[in-house]
Amino acid sequence: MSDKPLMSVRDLAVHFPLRGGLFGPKPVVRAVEGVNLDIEKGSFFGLVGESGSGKTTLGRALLRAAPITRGTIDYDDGEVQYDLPSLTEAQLKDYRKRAQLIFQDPYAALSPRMTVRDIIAEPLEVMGLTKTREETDARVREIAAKCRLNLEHLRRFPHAFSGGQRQRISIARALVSGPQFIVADESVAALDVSIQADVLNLLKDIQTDMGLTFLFISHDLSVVAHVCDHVAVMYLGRLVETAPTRDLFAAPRHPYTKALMSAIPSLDPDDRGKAEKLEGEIPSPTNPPPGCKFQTRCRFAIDICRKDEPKLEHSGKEHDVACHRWKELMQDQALEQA
Amino acid sequence: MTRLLDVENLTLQFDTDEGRITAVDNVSFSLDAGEVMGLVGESGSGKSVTAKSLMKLNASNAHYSDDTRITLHLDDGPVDIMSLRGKNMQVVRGGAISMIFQEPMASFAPAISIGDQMVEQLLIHTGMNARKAKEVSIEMLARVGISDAATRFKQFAFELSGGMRQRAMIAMALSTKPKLLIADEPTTALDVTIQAQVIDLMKDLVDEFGMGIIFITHDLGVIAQTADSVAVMYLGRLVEQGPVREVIRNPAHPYTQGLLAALPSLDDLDTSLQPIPGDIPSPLERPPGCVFNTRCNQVMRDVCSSTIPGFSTESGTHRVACHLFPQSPAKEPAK
Repeated sequence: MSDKPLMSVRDLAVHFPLRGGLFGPKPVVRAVEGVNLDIEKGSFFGLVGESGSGKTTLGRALLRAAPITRGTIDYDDGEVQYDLPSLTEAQLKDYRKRAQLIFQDPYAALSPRMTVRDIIAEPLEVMGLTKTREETDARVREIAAKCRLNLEHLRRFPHAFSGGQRQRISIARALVSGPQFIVADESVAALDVSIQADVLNLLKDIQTDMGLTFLFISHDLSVVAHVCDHVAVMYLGRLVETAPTRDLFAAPRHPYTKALMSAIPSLDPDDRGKAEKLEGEIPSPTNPPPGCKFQTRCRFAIDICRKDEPKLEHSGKEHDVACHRWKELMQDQALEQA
Repeated sequence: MTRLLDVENLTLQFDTDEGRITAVDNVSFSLDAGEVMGLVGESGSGKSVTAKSLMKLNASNAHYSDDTRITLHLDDGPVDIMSLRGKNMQVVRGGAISMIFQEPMASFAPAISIGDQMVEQLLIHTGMNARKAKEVSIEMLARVGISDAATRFKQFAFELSGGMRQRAMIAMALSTKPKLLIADEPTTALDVTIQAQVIDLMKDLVDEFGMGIIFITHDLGVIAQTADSVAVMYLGRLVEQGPVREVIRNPAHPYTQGLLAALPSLDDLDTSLQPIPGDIPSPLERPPGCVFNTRCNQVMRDVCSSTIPGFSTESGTHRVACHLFPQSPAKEPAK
């Protein structure tokens, strides 16, 4: 790994204005608020959260596909350095080649009227990356082989493929422009388990082979645990905890992270009812609670949690958490276990 | 335990433009009152179609085989569901059998309030008057953990959050006091923390109302947490069946084993994920012999691709349809 991170995000905010508010200020949805994040080059970075946590919006902001309200994103892949919120037209065009997105639903992401070859070749043609048809075809074949698609597949239309194969086509299309950074937004959520493992292994292989950096967005903690080397947990637009995967799963600090882990249905039928249950639901981002955003559902919330918003602070090597009481809670837990 | 449901030789085909396809092939199972049966399978396995057959909800291009027999045992005698026609179907649809769907937004009419929809079915299926029906509906909404039920009663589906909508759906399905509840992926569209709440709620309700539940899901974790017994389907056929502990701890069919190995588990982060090789074949090209033979890692060349495996008796109630196991005499080749 190089010493400088590929992406360095500081105090990033993405707000969406809402209609209404005839009097006074217009209401806004603070989809992402005050996020600080470093994504190392060559890492498989996981972003976890429930619906409404802002994970997709954050991913899109890093692709310059969501309006950035405030903050900086420094991008440095060794060849170029960009300040993402203030790219020129030409720079943005270049950045599109370097950063790509793999979508969730492989049924909706592929045009039914194009052959697989044309689907994969389209980014090359649009971006003008290849000069001749032969060059395009050679590039398409090379990428298709990497994604375990054969030549015969290239002539067919998407409807002839299963979900897993379609997702491999989407991956090939994202890779064809030779990107450095890939955002995979719930890319295996729509797949069956027996197929999901195959696509995850493929993503992992590609990342290692081509030295890419992945932002892997998912609601599924167990999937994230298996493929990512670093994980960030989001809640209501804020990062609440970020750590190397093993640290996070061995010693989660934030009560929300713990609750998320505990909510995964265990495969052991004798574990029934042991899980720590979270009450209530994620509040609306138009009207977030004061103080810590998680205080309405947190059983450890005290007065300070309802007044002051906790900042992300170091709680160990590369392990950051935004909770007023994490130290106390860790001590209590250690006592309980002793 | 009293027997609630018997399904024998359920075979269902659909006429499509590309020809007649087999969606469910010779599926038999039983369910007792108060039992929660998990029906597991991936897309195209026929699990939803099987469930819909119990209320004959499949589209008009569906053909049931002549020997398909579905019997619902009610207090006043058995009901032969295959022979029900027209208005008689109301005995089971929304009456003795209720169903919860995956996407609650799509299951509620968007322009009718939640309350009106709940009252309507009570008026159809029970002898209640409108006032009593409203009372029961509000009570039911409160019972599934919806706060301020009287206000929610007047609201529309879009005004509720996803978890709330699924609770309302459950309240609606249970208010007619069905004997059998079919839950088709009821927690799949929900976030994990909400899923855990809904699972808890359903478990409480089984204890309270004592109905039988068929819980359809692709998530074996959800099955482990809710079901008493499991039936695993693949490409329209039942491949393994048994008590939940047995099937999850000692899976016998290579497909069940593969499903469990493909699941990412938090307890073991060091082993890489093991996909089941290949893709699920199209129902138009169902493999001959055992339907799983194209992806099986223990396939035996001759027998698996030519002979359909019968059910074995593994240990009492644990059954598996695979040539690796000695099979029931009817299907076993003569020695």
